[in-house]
Amino acid sequence: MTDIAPHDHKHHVPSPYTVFALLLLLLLATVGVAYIDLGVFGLPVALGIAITKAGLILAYFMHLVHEKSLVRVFAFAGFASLAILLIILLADVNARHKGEAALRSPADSVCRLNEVNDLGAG
Amino acid sequence: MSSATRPDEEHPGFLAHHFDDPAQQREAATLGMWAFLATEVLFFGGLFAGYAAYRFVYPDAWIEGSRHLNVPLGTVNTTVLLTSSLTVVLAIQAVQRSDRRQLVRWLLATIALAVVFVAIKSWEYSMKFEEGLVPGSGFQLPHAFNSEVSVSQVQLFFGFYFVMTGLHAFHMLIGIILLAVYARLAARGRFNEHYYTPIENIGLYWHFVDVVWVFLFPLLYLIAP
Repeated sequence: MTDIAPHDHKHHVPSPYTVFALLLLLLLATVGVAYIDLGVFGLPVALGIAITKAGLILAYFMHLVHEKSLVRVFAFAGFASLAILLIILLADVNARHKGEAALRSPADSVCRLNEVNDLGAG
Repeated sequence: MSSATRPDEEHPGFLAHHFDDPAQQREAATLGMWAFLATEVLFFGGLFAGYAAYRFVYPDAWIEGSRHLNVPLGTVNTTVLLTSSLTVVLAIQAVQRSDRRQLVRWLLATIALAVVFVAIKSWEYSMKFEEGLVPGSGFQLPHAFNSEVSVSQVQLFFGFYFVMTGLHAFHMLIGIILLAVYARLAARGRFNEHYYTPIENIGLYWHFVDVVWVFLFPLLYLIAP
């Protein structure tokens, strides 16, 4: 018995050089796109290209397409957890006002309420 | 239980006693490595989350900080790291045909590229130090692309820059050490087409380090060049 990964011979296996060439093309795109003013689409496009590069590395260099599904579940779990972190954090930041006050604690608002109560105290 | 002490066809030398067969051992190693990489995703992910939050509230400072980074050097480094991922894949292909020579050569090539990356990074760090862009009491902008930007906010950007790329470089140093250890073992004939799981796993680690950089590069260097 040999200690090697299960091979799916039905699927066409791209050569690592092909994947590498694609990665270099995407790197060219990454730098090129950065110098074009896409306005609000700049960040999503840059991230989209980065995710495509990462996807190619994960799928072909890290063999996820050839591995058992359970391995893909483990890989996905890490990124799913990160997605939860980012979504909840960014939703929170986005719901506050922009600028210096954006990351202040809610306790600041509570303090102000206490000041108002003092007016009726004595 | 005497067969456990005698390596034979059913229990090859590389098979640990607590596994039934090599395929199970290999699957356990692969799953373990991916579980570790999932924790690494969260490790770097926390830094990316912090970066995202502050980029959202201090967009001008993030643009200003990014413009002080060297895009050509960052592009060269990205190319170097992508190439090193290729050389790792070629090393694995070599061991899959029991080609010891090529395995060692491609591992050494990966190490060489990694050293080039760290060298360029160190050079970038030394330039930042000279310009006064290292967070601390001596932080200053050598010149401002945007004169209205808040210097303390730009200092925060550079805090993220040094911690994120520094943590990444630290991971590369660990990778270099491990690659060197495995290159030595490979030269001594430890791996062949029947057993090369450690090579696969260091490959996974290395590709992960590459993926982190694939995100670091546009997010730090290319905000608005």
